Amino acid sequence: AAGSLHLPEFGACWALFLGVPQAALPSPLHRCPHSAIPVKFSGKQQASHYLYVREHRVREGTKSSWPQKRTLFVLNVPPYCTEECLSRLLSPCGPVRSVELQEKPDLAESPKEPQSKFFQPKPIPGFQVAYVVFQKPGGVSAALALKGPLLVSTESHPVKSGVHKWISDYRDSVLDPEALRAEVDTFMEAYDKKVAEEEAKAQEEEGVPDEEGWVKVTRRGRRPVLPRTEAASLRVLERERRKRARKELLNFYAWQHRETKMEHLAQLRKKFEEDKQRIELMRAQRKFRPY
Amino acid sequence: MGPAPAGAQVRGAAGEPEVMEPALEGTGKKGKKGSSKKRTVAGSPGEGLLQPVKLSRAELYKEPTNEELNRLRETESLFHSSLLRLQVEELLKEVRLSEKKKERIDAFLREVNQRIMRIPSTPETELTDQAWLPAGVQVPLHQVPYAVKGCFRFLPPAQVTVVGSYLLGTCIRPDVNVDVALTMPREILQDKDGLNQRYFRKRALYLAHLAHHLAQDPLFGSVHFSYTNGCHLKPSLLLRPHGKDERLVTVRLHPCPPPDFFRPCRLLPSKNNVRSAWYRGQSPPGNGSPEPPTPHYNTWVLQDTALESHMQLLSTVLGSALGLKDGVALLKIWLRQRELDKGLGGFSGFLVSMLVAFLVSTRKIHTTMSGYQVLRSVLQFLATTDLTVNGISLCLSSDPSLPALADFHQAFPVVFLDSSGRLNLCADVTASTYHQVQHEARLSMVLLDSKADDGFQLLLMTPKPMIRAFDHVLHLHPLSRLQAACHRLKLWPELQDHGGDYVSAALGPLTTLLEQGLGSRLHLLAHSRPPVSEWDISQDPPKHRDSGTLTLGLLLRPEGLTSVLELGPEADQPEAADFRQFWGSRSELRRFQDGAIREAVVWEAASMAQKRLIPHQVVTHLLALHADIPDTCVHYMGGLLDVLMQGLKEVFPPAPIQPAYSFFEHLREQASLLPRPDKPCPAYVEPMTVICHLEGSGQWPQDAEAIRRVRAAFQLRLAELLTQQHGLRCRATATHTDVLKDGFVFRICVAYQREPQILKEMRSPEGMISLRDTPASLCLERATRQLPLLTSALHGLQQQHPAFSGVARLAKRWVRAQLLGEGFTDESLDLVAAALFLHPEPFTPPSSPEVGFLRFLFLVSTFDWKNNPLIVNLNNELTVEEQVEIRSGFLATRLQLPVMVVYTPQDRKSSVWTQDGPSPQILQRLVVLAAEALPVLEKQLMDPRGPGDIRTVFRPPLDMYDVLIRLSPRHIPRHRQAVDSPAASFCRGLLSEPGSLSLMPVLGYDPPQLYLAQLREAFGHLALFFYDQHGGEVIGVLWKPASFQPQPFKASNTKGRMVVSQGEELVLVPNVEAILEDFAILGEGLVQAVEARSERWTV
Repeated sequence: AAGSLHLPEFGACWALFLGVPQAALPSPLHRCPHSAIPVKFSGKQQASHYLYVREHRVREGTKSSWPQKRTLFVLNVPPYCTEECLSRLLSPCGPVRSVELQEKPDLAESPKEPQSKFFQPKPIPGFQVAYVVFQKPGGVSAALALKGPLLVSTESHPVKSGVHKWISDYRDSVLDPEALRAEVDTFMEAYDKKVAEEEAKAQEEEGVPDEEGWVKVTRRGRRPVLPRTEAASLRVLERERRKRARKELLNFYAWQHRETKMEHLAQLRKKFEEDKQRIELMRAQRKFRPY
Repeated sequence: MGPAPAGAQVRGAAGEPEVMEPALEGTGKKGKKGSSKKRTVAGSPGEGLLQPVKLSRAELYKEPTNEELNRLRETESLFHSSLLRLQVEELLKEVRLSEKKKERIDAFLREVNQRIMRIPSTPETELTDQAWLPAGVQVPLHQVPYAVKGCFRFLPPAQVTVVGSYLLGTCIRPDVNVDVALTMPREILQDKDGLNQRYFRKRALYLAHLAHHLAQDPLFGSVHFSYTNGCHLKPSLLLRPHGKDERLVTVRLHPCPPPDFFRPCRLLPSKNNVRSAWYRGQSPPGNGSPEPPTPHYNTWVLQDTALESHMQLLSTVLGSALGLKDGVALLKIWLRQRELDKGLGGFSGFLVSMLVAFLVSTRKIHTTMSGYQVLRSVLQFLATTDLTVNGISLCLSSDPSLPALADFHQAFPVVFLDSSGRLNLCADVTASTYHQVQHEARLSMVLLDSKADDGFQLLLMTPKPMIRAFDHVLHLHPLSRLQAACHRLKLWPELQDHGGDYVSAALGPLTTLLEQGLGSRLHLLAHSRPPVSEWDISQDPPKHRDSGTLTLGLLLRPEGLTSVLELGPEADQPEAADFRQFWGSRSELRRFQDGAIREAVVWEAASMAQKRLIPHQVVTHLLALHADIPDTCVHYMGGLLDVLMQGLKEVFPPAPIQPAYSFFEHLREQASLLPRPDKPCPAYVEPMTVICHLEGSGQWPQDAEAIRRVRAAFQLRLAELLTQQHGLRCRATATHTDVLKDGFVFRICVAYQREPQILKEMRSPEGMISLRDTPASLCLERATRQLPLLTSALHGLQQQHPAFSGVARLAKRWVRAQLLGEGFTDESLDLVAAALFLHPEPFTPPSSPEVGFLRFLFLVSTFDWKNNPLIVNLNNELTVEEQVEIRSGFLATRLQLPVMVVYTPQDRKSSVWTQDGPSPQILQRLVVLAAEALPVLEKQLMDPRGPGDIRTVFRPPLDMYDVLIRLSPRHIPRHRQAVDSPAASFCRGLLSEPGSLSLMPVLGYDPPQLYLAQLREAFGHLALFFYDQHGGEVIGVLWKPASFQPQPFKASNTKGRMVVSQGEELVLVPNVEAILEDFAILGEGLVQAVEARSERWTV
């Protein structure tokens, strides 16, 4: 009984799925450079995602901070799989030293400086890649031979998802202001120290010529100069232009008159062309049908 | 709102410009008819996208030819701009009859003429003896009373003449009508035929006989009766050609008396030609009192006698002047777009032609003027001349025997005499119709004077149906009630004059009554004219009550609208009695603060929404009191959509909250409440954001990271001080402080003015500092600088137009209910709604949310987003020149701009509020939906039997989605806001009575939004997710078309996919089964079911 709008499809381009030849049964393949390990959230699920894993290798000459031979490169890590999970799932292959999840492959290890939980919002995970560093090279080969399926959430190690996860996220988002204050204070102390050092250095160099004899002129000197910004230089140019324009005589000579007229005509012509184009478009859109 | 997945949006926006063009083009064409394709491909440059014009220097500066100079000069003097000239030319081309068609019509007319002349005559019979009429045809007239003296016989017409616009060359397509006058031979008529409808009876019989014979002819596709201009005494016969020419032309036959048959002095407006003794079967009350005059009746007779002389007048005036003809054609289009030209008392094309003739005779129009100038002059004349007070006349003679204009003013509301000086051309035009014409003319003049670029579009191409033009609309239905109203209003003489047409007889008095009653609330009252019906010749003519409904449109005045008091005169004044009589029992004596004791009427209305509906109370009260029309017959269309806004009460106006502590978990150290997993999701509380700009100072650090720390320190200090000094519960974070006061939560964000600039600074290798926009700086600037500016501008707009908030809320409600809310920011929809108020042309700013919403749908569905920016001129800051500049800038950078571009005076280049969406597909979807919803809703509102289910257009179609994720209402905090408000929902942990509250409630916790954010992050590359954040119970998932194409094996492609072998190759395809299970896993607890419609896709 409740009516609603009836509508055509989303648009031609959306309904058209390009014909895909029927593929063979969806099964992981062995000729693939990566080996595939099925992974599921828990035992209840029917279908599984596949982790594509291979040993982390780079071409000669490329720099990579991940240790060769001992690092396993994992693709397609599902969003509910955390670093701890992955570490737990791969630990049967050998002791794991570190696991790092990233949005896309990155050769360098991310800077280890801890992200402030106050100033960086917690990212929402999607499908990620992981670099798993084993303590021994044997871990990698053991992992490559893993058959699975791996279960992310088990009885002994449940992983939160859905409502439970959001509630615990909300709890985590209520932060302690005192901790924030402490962090701000330490940061600002360090910052103030840095600024003070820089200033002292600048003061020291003030008016002292360098080895070629050049003296650096700064804003702090006795005769401050304009700051070197784009805006400032534009301002100067504009002032110059206006000064010149003031001096010029307008419509004084006959050729100036002629030129103004011609300019006017050109403007009209240009407008006319634009209008013609507009009309053409309107005609194409049938905009001249009054009703 | 929940945390929006910023990453997903930015990514989506980046790839847009390339996609936009084909997507909009492709789907745009699909909606149109196939026939338009040919032209699109052939003519338009750049596939329907305007591009900046590039002319070479040589072309721009070449010597002008004479011809070119002439054309330019002409354009300058005769038209407004070259664009207007071109547009007018195109339009005229579209409505003009082609020569080929004219030839076909002429041939048809010759055939018609021959057939008519060949119709056999009949022997003479009494008028009341109609047995000679064959069985298949009915007399097209209500013969009440039936008995009438006189004899009738049929003779072929003495003369057949084509009259009207076809000969003049001012007729416009579609619906080409050719009027043919048939002069009845003198032998048919007798003396005194002017009396007691005898002439009209004969006329009808004449037509009936004609119709019978013509209907048997195979030449005609259809032979119908109709009323000439809706006048019930004057039927006409409509002939249409047979076969494929059926729609080519309609020939209308009008019988008319031989010239000089009626003595004009008998037909003056003060004369009576319908005797009471005959019409009512009784002599007028009080013997000896004169018979009431019958001005309308007389006019209708006179009109028939003057057909030819009018034709001659018009052909001499318009004859060779092309500009005048163009002007008349334009005026006809103008009238038709405003629905003013049809029906009895409409402002027909004939009337404007006569008006042009009048203006030519008074030298206000010259024959060399262009069509545009004629249009302008006529509109100017209409806007400034009130024909209801000062009538005009085409008559030049100063014959003393002619009646004075004042006589006509007594008999008719609007006076415009023809060249004979005896016929009022505007006899049937009511005062309201004329005022509506005047109102429209005034609006159009303002528009023409404003130099707006699209004046042509708005003036001549935009339809103004009643439902979209008027704030409130009411239907009187059934019309038979008006008969009783006529008796109550004592309108017997008028009925006698109108031949029993009680609808037109009651119209004038009713509109006057309502105009008086609505007083200062009303700007303009208009009424629909009963449509001119057509009927088959074998049927009885339609009764008066069959002419559908009478629809009245109210254009309200926002200033007076919401007052609850009608102040009357002081009790001891003589006018007090009139006031009491007018308002009946509603009028009561009241004592006012200044000590005066006055008559007054007070209407009950508590909220703003109810106050807006006071006109409803006024109308029903007055109609019941004075016209005996019960409120069951008054169908008032106003405030119907208010239900949908009031469902959002939790959002606006915000109510103080009082959580029940037992419902929550407590976080003791931070004095905060937390949701509990074993309880339903708590109520959604959205804090109100306050931006707090700190005074500029040299003490701030000049480094982005350090500024953030200092801001955080300010937040902490702010929270501390508010707690200490005011005892408010505060919770500080690095970016904002939540403050709880009296059950409201405010989110105070400290802002530093120079911060966006510092984020923008880039140092080039040479040490030059330049400013470059970065995503972070843009975001910050939007939140701390542009948003407050916009909010204050919109607040000002709301003060000016109280309906603004309603329109904006309905618009947002609708967009979100259609599950498209994600693509549109609040501000972008606010701005579109604001545009309806700031640029209402050709309408006036809406005073009710409904009409505003209809216009929103119209704007969204017709606006050419691809080629035009929507310029919202807040506070009228932009001059015309600046707007032109903005437009050209827009064309030059079109491809870098988002699909939907909305500019404001503060934002002339980048359209900040639509940067992150909508995508071309979503916008296109919205356009299609709006185009579908508008006619549905308009039809509902125009249906006199009641609107039915008003929520229909707010329910989204779900059959287009590939997967539906059903959510459990238990965890939807805003479940009660849903369009179809649930009968029962869960307790959300709120107490009804206010009390002191000391713990911070759960803020911004909305599981569906959190779930969506996760889905978009994880599967955004494969699918789109659609959800109504206001209590939606279902998430629609649409696979992206490209996502099912096999991808080569690459690290970046693996997300959510699996490897299969296709021939020799290894390719990646989406792991759909696992993904569907992921939908359930990620939303554990929230998701009730995942419905996959797997028949819709193949992997």
